[in-house]
Amino acid sequence: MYLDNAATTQRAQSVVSAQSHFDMYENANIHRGIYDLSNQATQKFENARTEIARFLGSGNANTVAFTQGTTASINIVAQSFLAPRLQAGDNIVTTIMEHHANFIPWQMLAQQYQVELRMVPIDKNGDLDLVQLSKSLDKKTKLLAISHISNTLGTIHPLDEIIELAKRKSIPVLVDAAQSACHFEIGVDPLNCDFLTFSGHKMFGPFGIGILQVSENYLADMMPYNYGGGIIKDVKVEKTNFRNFPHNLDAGTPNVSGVIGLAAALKFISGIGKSDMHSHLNKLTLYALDQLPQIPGIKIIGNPKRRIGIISFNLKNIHPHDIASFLNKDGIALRAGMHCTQPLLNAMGLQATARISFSIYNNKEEINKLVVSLNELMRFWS
Amino acid sequence: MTKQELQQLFKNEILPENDNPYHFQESQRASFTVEANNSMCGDKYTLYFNASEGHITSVYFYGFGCALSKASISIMCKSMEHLTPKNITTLSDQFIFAMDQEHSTEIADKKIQMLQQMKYFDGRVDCIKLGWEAVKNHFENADL
Repeated sequence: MYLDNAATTQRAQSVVSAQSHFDMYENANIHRGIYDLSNQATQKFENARTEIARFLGSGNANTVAFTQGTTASINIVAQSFLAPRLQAGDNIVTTIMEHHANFIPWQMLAQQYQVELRMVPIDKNGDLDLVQLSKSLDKKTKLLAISHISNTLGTIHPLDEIIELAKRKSIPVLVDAAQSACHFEIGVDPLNCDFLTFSGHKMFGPFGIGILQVSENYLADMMPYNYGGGIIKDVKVEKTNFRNFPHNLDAGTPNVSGVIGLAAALKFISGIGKSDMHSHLNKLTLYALDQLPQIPGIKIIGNPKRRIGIISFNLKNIHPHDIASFLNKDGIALRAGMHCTQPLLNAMGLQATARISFSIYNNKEEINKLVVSLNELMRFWS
Repeated sequence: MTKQELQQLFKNEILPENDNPYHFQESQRASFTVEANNSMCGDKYTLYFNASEGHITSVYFYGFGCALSKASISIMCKSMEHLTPKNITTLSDQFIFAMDQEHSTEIADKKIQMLQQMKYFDGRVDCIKLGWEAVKNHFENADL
């Protein structure tokens, strides 16, 4: 019984098949060969880019770069886009609720370039303080970086409202869609943001592959960050000229079979339908929020206005790691710890939580089983 | 480890130590302190060492963590009292080696032996080693 989908989802059979078919019968390096196998691999790779752009509501495949995942994408925006334009007195705005991947890169930049890092706080329910967010954005703000869904509380941020606040002041916005890509309509165009990223492995795809989508407004601002073959127009001893985004990020050989697997994962999601997936996760979340309070000594962390798929909780006097060890013996996989959100837990006065997170293959019977196990654990511990 | 074995282990060994930890209190007058933190899970303890005439006279600890890390540090604190820094380095070295290796020499202390028997407790060995590694790192790098 797998309830750790916010960490990674199980791989779809179609993803495994697509990757292994490529690896067994179609493997060749791309963009380099003039033989059929290489041409076909290149074609598949670039077709995947087109399909991913379509998944993101865009007809322009050149807005999509392949990366190692969300963390890598955010670091690329930090180094390739933001760093060259920072000046003393500027600021970067993010929130206290972010995953470390969407916090530390900005913290490092702020320290390196002596700019201010502004952290938007949350209220007692686990919703962002939008008044503070609005006040944090000013003419010196060079980027707003925000997740779509909190990986610890499951809070769905009101991105329409937040992005509108930033756009009124012409501030570029990065959206970390790692927890929402499966079941929300996302993309730089649908969300009206400027940078969007997600990881394949959190949406039934392979490890080590993700995307960075950049709005057409900023394509020309994306500089190479990693130098080597594959990204160049022309190399001379005196000077190298680089290709345009997204090809200026692809130094070296990319993760071709990962890209093939990612495209298969998006096809898998489209086959189920994002709205059906969203509806299923919503039902499970509401059911769990209804059932879990029956357990004596449980504390559900946060009560945001909108949440989906992810619930953190604590049991009185039992550390989350001990909860996870005992539930493991009942065949239940859940996450315990800080979930890479130490600033959030510190702000809430917490050291750690237990976290359950759902996907399309979970069901209400599993939540019932979870409740039985947690009740048994509470009886044992007391 | 089966569920029954896990329950027995916690009931008989871990929870009694967790519920009544040895010297579990802050100490403002300690000779020196050692921090034991696990940033992955949020466990965070401060160990307070009192020293006199080349020996550790008492060890206190305080903080937040799981039952395993708390029980392990409790046992460790008691075992380190009246030892020299050199002996503490040797003891923590032996303990960590025993937790990491297939074959190792058991330490005479029965409670430490109990901890060592949990070396195959998947995913929780770091909890058991947390305090011991912090102490080992401190004493190895300290100017004694």
